Amino acid sequence: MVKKIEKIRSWQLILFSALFLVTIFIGIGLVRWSMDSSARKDGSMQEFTTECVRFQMMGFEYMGDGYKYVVTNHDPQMLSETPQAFTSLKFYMESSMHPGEVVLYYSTEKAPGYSEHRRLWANAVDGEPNWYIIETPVKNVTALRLDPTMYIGNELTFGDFVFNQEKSFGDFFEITTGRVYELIVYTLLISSCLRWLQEFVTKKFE
Amino acid sequence: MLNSIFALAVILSGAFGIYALWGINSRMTPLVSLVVLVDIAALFAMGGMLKTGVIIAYVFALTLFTLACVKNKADIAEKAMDFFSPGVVMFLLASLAMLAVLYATQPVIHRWDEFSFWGISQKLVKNHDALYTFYSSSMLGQSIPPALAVLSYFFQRFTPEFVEWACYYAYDVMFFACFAAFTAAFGKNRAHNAVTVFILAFISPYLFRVLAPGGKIADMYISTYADIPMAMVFAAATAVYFFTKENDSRSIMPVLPVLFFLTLIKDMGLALSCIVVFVIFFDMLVSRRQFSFLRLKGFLAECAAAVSMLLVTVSAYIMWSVHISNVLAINRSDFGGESGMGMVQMLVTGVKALLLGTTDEKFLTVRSSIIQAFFNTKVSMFGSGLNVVIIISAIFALAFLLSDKTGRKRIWMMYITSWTGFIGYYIFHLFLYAYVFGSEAYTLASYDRYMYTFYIGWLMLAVCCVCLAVRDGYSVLAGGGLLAVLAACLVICNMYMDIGNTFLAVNDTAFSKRQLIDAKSRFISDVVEEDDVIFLFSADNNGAHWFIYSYNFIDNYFPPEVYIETWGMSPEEEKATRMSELTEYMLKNGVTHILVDHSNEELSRNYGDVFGGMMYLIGHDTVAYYKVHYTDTAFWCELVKEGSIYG
Repeated sequence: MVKKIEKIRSWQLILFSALFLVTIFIGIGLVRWSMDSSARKDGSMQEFTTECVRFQMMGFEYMGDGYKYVVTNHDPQMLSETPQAFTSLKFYMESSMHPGEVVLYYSTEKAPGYSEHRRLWANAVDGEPNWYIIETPVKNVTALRLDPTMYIGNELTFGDFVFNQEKSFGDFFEITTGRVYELIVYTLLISSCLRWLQEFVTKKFE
Repeated sequence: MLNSIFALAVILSGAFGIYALWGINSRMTPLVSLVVLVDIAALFAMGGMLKTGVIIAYVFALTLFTLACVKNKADIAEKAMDFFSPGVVMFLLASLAMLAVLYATQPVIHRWDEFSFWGISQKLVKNHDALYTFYSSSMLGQSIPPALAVLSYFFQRFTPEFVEWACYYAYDVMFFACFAAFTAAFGKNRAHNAVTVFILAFISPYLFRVLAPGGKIADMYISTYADIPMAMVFAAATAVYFFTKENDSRSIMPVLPVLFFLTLIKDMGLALSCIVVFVIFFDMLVSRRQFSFLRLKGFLAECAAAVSMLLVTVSAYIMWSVHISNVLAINRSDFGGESGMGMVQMLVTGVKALLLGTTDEKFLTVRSSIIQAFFNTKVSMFGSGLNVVIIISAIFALAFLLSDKTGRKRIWMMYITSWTGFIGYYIFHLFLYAYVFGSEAYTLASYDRYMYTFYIGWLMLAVCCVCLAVRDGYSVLAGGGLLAVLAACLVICNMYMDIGNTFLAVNDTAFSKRQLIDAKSRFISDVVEEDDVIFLFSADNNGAHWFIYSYNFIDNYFPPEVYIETWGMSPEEEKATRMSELTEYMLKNGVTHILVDHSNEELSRNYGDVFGGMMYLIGHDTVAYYKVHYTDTAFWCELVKEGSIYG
C-alpha cells in the first residue's frame, strides 16, 4: 500500500484535483438546475412581471409622471410579504444620482426578519442601462425587502419588475473569471494537500 | 499590454542573469531583479532623466541575461531548468494570470488618496516623462518618495498614454516577486510547500480588511496605495537574507537594493528598513559562524554587513532629501504638521514625554486612545491588534517547536527583534499622531491602514519561520503546519468575503461614479482649453467629484471648494453674501470657467441668475461648461457647452 502511494506522480495529483473540482462544478450546476426546473414544474415558482405598486413602499414620496418617486428617508424600503419560491429579480430603475448600494433582503420561515446574513446584492445588467439583476439559488422566501438606494433626495423612476426569469440549461454552467480562478487556485491547493498526505504516509518522522 | 509583457520579460531575464552569474537562490531573483532595475531608473529620475534611466535599466537587465548565457553556454539548458524552481514558476504564472485579468477587466483608479496622490502622481509622471517634483500641479504631497511611481512607469515606458491598470499590474508583479522570495526555502521536491506559502501570502492582505460577503470590492491588488507594498517588501527584504545558506557577502548583497527600494516607497519605509537591518543583524549573531564580509571575519564582518545595509538605507533617504531640497526647496526633516517640529525634535520631545511624563493634553489623550485602540479597534478579520499579535505569536511558537536547534535560536531571536520593531513602530505612530496630525489625531485617522502595514509584514515573517522549520527541522509536520495556517486563514476569509469582493469581480458597473464623471469630462473635453482655471459647481459632492475632475483635467487648475458662512441670514442676505464672497474667491484664484456637474434647488436659488436661470436642469447625466465674465462686484456666465452625456 505505502509503496503504491509512494509511486503516485505529481502530475497525477494535479490532474486528479482538477477533475475533482470540475466534477463538483458540474454537480452543483446539475443540482441547481434540477431544483429550478422542479420548482417551475410543480408550480411553486413562476416567472411573472409586475410593477412597483406590488411593493409596500416606505420612505418614498410619489412625484407623479408614471412611477417616479423621491426618497425622503435614510433607509428607503420596498416590502413584499408574499411567500414564494424565489430565484431572481430583474428590475428597471432610473436614478437621478448614483444609487449607492442596491440590496435585497429576504426572510424565510425558519429565519424571519431581515439580516445581513440573508442579503443579496444587485448587479447592473451588462448592455442594458438602468436594469438591475439579483440572483440566488432557489429559495422559499416568506418576504422580500428591496433597498433600491442609500440617499435622501434621490429621484427614482421604476419600470418592470421581472421575477424568476427563465434560465436556459447552459446558464447553470456559466464559466466566469471567478470560476476559472477558483479552478486554478483550488487545484494547486488540493494537490498540495494530497502531496503532503503522500509525504506524511510514506515518510517516517524525522 | 505589450509594454507590460516586455517589462515582465525584462525583469525575468534580469533575474536569470543574477541567478546564473552570482549563484543567488533563484526564488529571490525576481524581487532582486525588479528592485535593482527600479532603483536604477529612480536614480536617473532624480537627476531628471527618467526616460533614459528606464531604457538603461532595460538594457542593463538584458546585458546581464546575455552575459549569463555566454558564461554558461555549456550547461544553459540545465541552468534554465534549475532557474524555474517552484517559486519562480508561481511568480510567472501569477503574473501572466493577473495580466489577463487586469487586461480583461481594466479597473480604474477609484479611491480617495489615489486622486490626491498615489494615482495622480503616476499619471503626472507618465504625462511629463519626469518625476512630479519638476513641475507644478494641483497634486498634494510632492515630497513623497518616488519608488512606486517609477515602478509604474517602468511598465509603461513605451505606451502612448497613461494606462491605469498598468499601474496596478506593476504593483502586482512586485507582490508576486515578494511572494516568490517567501518560497525561497523550497526547491523542486518541495513544490507543494511553495504553493502553500505563495497562496498564503496572496490572501494575507485580505485578512486585514474587514469586509462583508458580496459587498464592496476590496482594493487589494487593484490599488496604488503604498501600505501593502511596504508591508510585503518589508517582509521580503528580511526573507531575502533569512533563507540564504551562503556564509559570505552573497547573503547580504541582494538585501541592499531591496532596502534602497523600501526606503524610497514612502517616508515610513525608512523606519521599516531600519527594523529589517535590526532583525537581520541579530539573526546573524545567532545563526552565522565564521561569517565573512568584505574580507572581514566573524563578529566584525557581521557589524560591517549591518553598517553597509544601514548606509544604503540612509543614502536612499538622503538622496531623496537632497533632491527635494534642490528642486522644491523643501526641508524634509521638517515634518510640518500641527506643531511644526523637525523629525529629531519630534523624537526627542516624544521620548521625553513618554519617559518623564508631560502635561501636553493632546499627547496624553492620543496616548490613551492609541493604547485602547490596540485592544479594541478591529483591524483585521481576526479582530483587534491584540488578537493579531496572539495569532502571530502562535505561528512563531509552531515554527519554534518544529525546528532544529539552530532554527530554534533564530526563530526565538526573530520573535524578540520583531516585537521590538513593533513597539518602536507603534510608538513612532503615537508621536506622529500627537505632533504631526491635526484634529484627526483624536480619532486616530487611518489607524488600521498604518497598522496593517506592520501586521502583514510580521505575519509573513512568522510564516517564513515555519518555512525554515520545513527546510531544516521536522519537514513533514511543519509542512502540515503551513497547510493548517493556510486552512485557518481561508476559513476566516470565507466568513467575511467571497469572490465578489476581489479584483475578479470588477466589471463595468463597479466604478460607476468614476465612469459617470469620465463621461461628463469627455463631453466637455473639446471645449476645455489648456490654461482654463475651472471652478466646480457640484451639489451632491463630498469632494470626490472635485478630485476626479482635477484628475481628468490634469493640466488645468481647479481651486478647491469654498465655504461661505450664511447661518441665520435671510434668503436675500444669504444670496448677496454668497455672491460677493464667491466673486472675491474666484477673482483671487483667477477662475476663468465654471463647470456645473450637478445642481440642486439651493444652488439654483442662490446662483441661478448668473447662469440665466437655467441651472436647475443640470443633473445626473448632464453637464455644462461656462465662461466667466466679471463685473465690478459680481460675475455672469456665458454658456460654452451643455448637454447630456447620452447625446
